[in-house]
Amino acid sequence: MASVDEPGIEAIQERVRRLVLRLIGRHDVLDDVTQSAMEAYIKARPTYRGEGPIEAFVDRIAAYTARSWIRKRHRRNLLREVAESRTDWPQMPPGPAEEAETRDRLRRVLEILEYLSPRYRVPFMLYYVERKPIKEIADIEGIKESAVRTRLHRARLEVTRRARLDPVLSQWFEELGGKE
Amino acid sequence: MNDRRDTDGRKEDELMLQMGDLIRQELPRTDVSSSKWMHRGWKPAPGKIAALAGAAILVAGGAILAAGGLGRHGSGRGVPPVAVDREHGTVLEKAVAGRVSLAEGDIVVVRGQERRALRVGDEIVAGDTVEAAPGSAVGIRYEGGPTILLDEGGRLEVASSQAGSLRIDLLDGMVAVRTGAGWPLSVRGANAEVRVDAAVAAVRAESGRIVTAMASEGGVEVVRSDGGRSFEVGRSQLLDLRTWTTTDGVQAPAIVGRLALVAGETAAAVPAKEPEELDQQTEKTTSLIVRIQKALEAGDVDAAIALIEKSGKGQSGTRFNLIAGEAYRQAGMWPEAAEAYLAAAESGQGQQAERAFLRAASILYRKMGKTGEAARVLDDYLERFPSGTLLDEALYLGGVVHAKSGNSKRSRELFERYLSTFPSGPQAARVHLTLAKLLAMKLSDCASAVDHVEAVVKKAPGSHMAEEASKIAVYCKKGEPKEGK
Repeated sequence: MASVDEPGIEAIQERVRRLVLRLIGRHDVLDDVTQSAMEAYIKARPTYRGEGPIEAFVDRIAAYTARSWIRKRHRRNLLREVAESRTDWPQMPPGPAEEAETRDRLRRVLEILEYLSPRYRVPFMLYYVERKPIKEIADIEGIKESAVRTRLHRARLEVTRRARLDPVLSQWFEELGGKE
Repeated sequence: MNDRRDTDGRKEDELMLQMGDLIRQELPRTDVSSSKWMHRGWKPAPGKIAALAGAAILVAGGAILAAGGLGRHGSGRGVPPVAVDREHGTVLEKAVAGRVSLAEGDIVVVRGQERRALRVGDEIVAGDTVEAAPGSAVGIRYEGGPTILLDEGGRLEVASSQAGSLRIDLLDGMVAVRTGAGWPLSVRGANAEVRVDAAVAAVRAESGRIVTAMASEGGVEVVRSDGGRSFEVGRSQLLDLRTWTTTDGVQAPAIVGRLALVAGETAAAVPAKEPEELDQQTEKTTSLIVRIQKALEAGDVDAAIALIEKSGKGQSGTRFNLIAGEAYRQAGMWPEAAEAYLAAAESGQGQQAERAFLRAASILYRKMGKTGEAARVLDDYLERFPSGTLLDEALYLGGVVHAKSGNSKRSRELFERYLSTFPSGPQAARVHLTLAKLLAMKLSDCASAVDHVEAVVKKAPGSHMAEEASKIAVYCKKGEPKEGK
């Protein structure tokens, strides 16, 4: 039953889709994960008691579904998929060299994030990509704010370590350092 | 050294922020709107849609429902394809049924005696048999209508295509049907017949389970009469074909047709009920519900309550009681809300009733502090819906409520049932924790509590629940459980 100020199903679907995309970082399974999240939302909707914004309720479900999807994938499969995605990147339109460089950088960043377990990856994406405050992430994840900070710290360490091993990202890292 | 660490920390954080910006700006550059799904190579996830061997799919461009006439499973079998001379294996009439909108991997069409590979844009005509090799998938877009998606290892035959109607026999594998509304009609189970057009979907099946995804405006969902979206077939039942329309900014459901599923060998669609045939009482109730909902959406709870109390006398339908419960809940009128939800729970069926039960219990427990009554409501729910769709919620809440009301034994029973039924459920870690507390502090059973403590630490390491669990472990080690400590 819709309540006051509740967005329509289309808006919710769009919100879920965007969040799922950012959390899983992939287009090829986006529809399926979004559909799962929407099914979970439809199932869980009656339990929403209006105690917080519906958006937070939706985000929790989307994050949970995305996390479950990430968790289910075996590391070996994951590596294979990542390897295949190097040659199969149809969503990215061809562009000038600068755009190609950006796309390459994005691909490398996403590959690094693939290595993070959902435990670290989801807070990382919510904080650095979605720019959500720590408190909101804690609500979504159902953990304490201090736990979010810890996970972010560990995620940062892991991402940085892997970025330093990557020739393109390590150079980017150095450029950022040079700006200081 | 510290300076160096600080600089590195800033650099790391800056890098992370840059990465975040990069992802945020670049990743969604492709259109992520759902309306484009059909064109972007969507295919059903394996396991998401069960195999539908022997099913027939009928896509109709016109009327809502044909009266009767749906035969046995794979009902197209008895009707020869009009466009193919089977004896000679030639196409008599090239009636374009649709075009290939997705071709991943090895897709082959068998037309007459010819066998050739299919590519995106190719025409599909009546009599064609389409095969998707393992690891492949094909989408066939019916002109102006839905897309039929055949997953890997599947085989289908376009049985007929005439007068704006397309019928497909699924010979092997699995299919999904994506309507114009963007959401697919998912079908699980064997021997199902699905008939879809841009506005209406209908399902006939003899066994298995049918699940329809939620439809947005313009799309149609097949629902049980009580509003549930999934149903077991194999027993007689009437299903509603429901669409959503917006009037004065209020989204409301409208029944556009009805389908009879009859147990046994045959199942027949019944003609759609014309809107004007809906009885006046139904219309009156629907109108009242829409007005109440509109008031709620406008934030005017008082107006909604006034409508309920002025015009709602004599109303006893489930939908009315549900919206009344919602209005009372928003107004903070807890006894009235609980009463309305309980009435909806009693009169309703399926998911609507389940939802009403849980809302009533939640209000009784959380808002009115009536744990005993809440516990009884939840026990009623569990008796009536032993395999309900909200079973996990009910078991969890039931465990909590019984614990609060002092019935530790029943609480333990419900929590243990939760864990055995939903070992990885969203509340599993919390249930382990609560059960550990209950066992250690109320039932003096530290030996059993320790297992749950370990489960919490394993399921939610580093969380505050794990911290609490470790305190219980310490408590148990001391070996002096005290009531209420």
